[in-house]
Amino acid sequence: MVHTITMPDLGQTVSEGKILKWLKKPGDKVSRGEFLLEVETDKVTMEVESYVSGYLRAILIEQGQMGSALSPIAIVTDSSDEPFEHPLESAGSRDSSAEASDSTPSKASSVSQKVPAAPAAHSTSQAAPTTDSRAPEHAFAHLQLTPGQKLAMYRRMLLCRMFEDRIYYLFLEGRLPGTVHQSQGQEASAVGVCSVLEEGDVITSTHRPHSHAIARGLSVESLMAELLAKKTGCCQGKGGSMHVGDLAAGMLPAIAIVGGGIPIAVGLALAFQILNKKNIVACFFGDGAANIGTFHEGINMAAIWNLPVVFVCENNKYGASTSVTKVMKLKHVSERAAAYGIPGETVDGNDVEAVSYAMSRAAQRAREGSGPTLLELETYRFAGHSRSDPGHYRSKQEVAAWRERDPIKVYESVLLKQGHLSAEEIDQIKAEIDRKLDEAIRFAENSPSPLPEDCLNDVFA
Amino acid sequence: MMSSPENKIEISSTPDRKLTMVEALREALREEMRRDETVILLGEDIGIEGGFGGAFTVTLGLAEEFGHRRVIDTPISEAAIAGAAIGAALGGLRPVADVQYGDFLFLTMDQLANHAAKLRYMSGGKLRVPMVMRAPVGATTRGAQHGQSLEAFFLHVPGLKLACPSNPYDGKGLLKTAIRDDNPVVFFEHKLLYGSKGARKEAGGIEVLGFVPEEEYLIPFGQAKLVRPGRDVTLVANLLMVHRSIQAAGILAESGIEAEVIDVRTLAPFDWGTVAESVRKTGKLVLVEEDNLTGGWGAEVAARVGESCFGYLDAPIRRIAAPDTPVPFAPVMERFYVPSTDRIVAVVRELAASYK
Repeated sequence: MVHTITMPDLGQTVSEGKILKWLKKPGDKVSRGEFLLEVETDKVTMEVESYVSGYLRAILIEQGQMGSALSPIAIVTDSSDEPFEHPLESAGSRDSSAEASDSTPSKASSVSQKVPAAPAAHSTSQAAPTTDSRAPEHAFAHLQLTPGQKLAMYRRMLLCRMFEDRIYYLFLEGRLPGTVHQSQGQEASAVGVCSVLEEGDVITSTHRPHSHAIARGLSVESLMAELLAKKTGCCQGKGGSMHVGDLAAGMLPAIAIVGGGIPIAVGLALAFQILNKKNIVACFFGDGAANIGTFHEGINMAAIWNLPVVFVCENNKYGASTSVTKVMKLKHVSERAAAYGIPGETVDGNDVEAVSYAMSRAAQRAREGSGPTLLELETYRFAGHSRSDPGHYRSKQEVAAWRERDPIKVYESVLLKQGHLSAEEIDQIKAEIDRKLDEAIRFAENSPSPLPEDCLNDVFA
Repeated sequence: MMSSPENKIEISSTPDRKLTMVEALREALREEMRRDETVILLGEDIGIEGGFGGAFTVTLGLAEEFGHRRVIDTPISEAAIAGAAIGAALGGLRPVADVQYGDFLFLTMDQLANHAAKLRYMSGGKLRVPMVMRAPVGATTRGAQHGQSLEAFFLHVPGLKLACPSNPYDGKGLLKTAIRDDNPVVFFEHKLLYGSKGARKEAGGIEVLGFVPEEEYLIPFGQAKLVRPGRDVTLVANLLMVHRSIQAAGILAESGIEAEVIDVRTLAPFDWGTVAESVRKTGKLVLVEEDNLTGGWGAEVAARVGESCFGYLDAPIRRIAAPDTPVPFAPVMERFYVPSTDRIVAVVRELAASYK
C-alpha cells in the first residue's frame, strides 16, 4: 500500500512551514512513531513523526523548502519495492498504481505532530503580558495527539452539542422542568480540558455544566435523568441542571454560585497534595467569576502552596448580559495570573487541540508539583445566558462571526482535511449519537420520579 | 457542680486534672491529630513560629508537633479558608478551620451555607463534608465587629451542625466528636471562657477550670446537660450564659425559687427531649442567650416548646437576650447589653411572682 505523508496541520493561525531537515532518506525503513523530519514555522519548531510503518520512497519537498499545511511531502510504501507513482516525475505516465497519487489525504497517510517548544503552536494570543511568569517551555516536550484521540475529541464534542440540542427541544416541549444554561459553542473548551485528565482527577463546574459533565465522561443516561428530575439521575433528582456531577466519576456536583467553586477546587487540590496523590483538579469558571473575591482568594492560596490545580476560565465574553469589556479593564483574564506569580495563558477556546495542548502543559505543571496555571479559553455561547434569554445584547454579526468559528465545524473540517474522518463517517457518528440520546431520553422518561418525601433525606451523613 | 464569684468558676468537684478551655480544646486537637493523620488545621496565625497559636492560643505548639504540612497558616482569606476546608473534606481529609473572630464567619457565609451545608444534599446523598469551622464569639469590649454571637444565623441553615460548649470538659469532648463527624460543624467558643493566659488573657474573662480526665471520652451531639436541677422554672442557656444562669439559680435559691438549668451544648442537633421534660416538670421556661433578641435561637426553642408543651406551661415563655442593636464598645454599655446574672434573677422573680 502507498501512503502519502503530508505536511502537518500547523494550527489555525499558521498556514505553511519550512522543512528544516529530513531525518530519513529514500529507501530507509520507517517505523510508526519514528521521526521523519523537522519543520519550522514562524511560531515553533517541531519534529514530525511517521504515523505509518514502511519504506520512505520519495521526498516531495526538499530540505530548506516551504510547504503548505496538509500538502504531500513524501511517499511511504509498505514494502520496499512496491510500485508507486511519483507525483513530481510521472505526470502523464500513469500506471496501475495511479490511485496512490490521490492528493486527498487518507487516514492511513496521516502524520501526527510533536511540539517540543509548545505554547505558541495553537495559542491565539500567547504574547499576553504574563510571559515572564510562564513555566519553562521545554517542560512540555511530550505533547502529541494521536488520530484516535482526535477522533475521540470530535465525537465527544458532538455528543455535548447534540445533548444540549436535545435538552433545548425537551425544554420547549415542556418535558424538562426548571431552567437550563446551555453551552453550545463552548464544547472545545470542555472537551479539550477533560481530554488530558486521568482517573482520579476532578473537575469543578458552574451553572453551565452539561458539556463539562459529558466531557468528563459522566453517563448521558444519568445526566438526562437528573435534568428530567428522576430518581435515577446522577444526583437522584436533588441537583438538577445546575448541579449535575458525580465525584466518583471525577466531577464534583456543579457549583452554581459564581466563583463559589474556586476555593473548593483549591481544597480538593490541597487534599491531593497532603495525601500524596498524583491527581489534579481542573476548576472551570466563566469570565464573570474573575471579578468575585473568591477568584482572588482561591488562586492566591493555590499559588502560595503550589497546589495541583488548573484554573480554567471559559471567557465566553458575557456574564449573563454584561460584556466582559464593561466589567474588566484588562484585555485578558489570564493577565491576572501575574498578580499571583503563576503562569497565565490565553488560548483559542474554540480550537479543541489548542485547548488540549495548553491544558496538557498546565496539567503537567500541576502534577509535577509546580503549582497552578490560569488558562483563559476564549469562546462563545451560541445560546442565551439561560433559556429565557434571547440575547438581544449581542449583535447578529457578532453571533454570526462566532458561529463561523463553531468549534465542531472547524474541527470537523480539519479532520476531513487530515483524512481522519470522512463525510460518511460523520453521518454514522451522528446517527450513533442520536440513538444514544434517544436511549437516554427513553431511560430518563421511564425512570421513577423521587417520592415527594424523599426531599427530607440526605441532609446529614 | 458548684458556683462561685463570676471571675472563677469550678465545674468539677474532682480536683485531679483541671484544664482551661484553651487547654482542653488544644488537647482535643492534639489527640485527634495523633489518632488520625487526615486531620489538618487551617487558619490565620495558627502555626507561625514565634507567633501565638491562633487569636486565642488554642493551636499553640501544634505546628511544632505536627509540622506545617498539617498546621497550615493561611492568608487573610476567610472565604477561601472555608472553601479550602470544604474541598479538603471532599478530598478525604478532616480539616479543622478557624476564623479569628466569629464575626468573620460572614465572610465565609456563601461557602458554609451554600456549599458545605448543601453539597451532600445536592449530590443525592453521595458526598460527605467532614469539616469543622471554629469561631470565637461573645462581647468582650471589642465593639460591633469583634463581639457578636452568631449561632442563629447558622441554626437556620439545614445541613450544618452547631456546637457551643460552656466548659473545658464539654469543649474537649464536643470538639473530638465534631472532628469525627462526617458533616460540617460550626464550633462556637466563647472568648470569656477560654481562660487564655499571659498576653492573650481576656479582660473580664472568667477562669473556667474544669476536670478533664486523662482517658479518652467523646460527648455525643444532641445531648443537652442538666447542670442544676430545680422544680420551679427551666433556664435554657449556652456558652457564657450557662454560667450566668447557674449563678442566677444560686441567688434565686436563697429566696426559695429552685431553677433548673440546662446547657444546650449543641444547637443543631437540638435536644428537644431534655428541654421538654424539664418544662413539663417546671411549667415555666426562660431562654438565656447572648445573641440579639429577634430571630435568636431562643425564639426557635420558644416556638417549638409552645407547640409541643402548651398544656404544661403555666406562664409565658420568656427570652433573655441582647437588645436589637450592634454590640456597643463602652464597658458600661456592654454590661447593659449582654444579659447579666441580675437580669436573669429579675426575670425569673417576676415570672414566679406573676404565675404561681
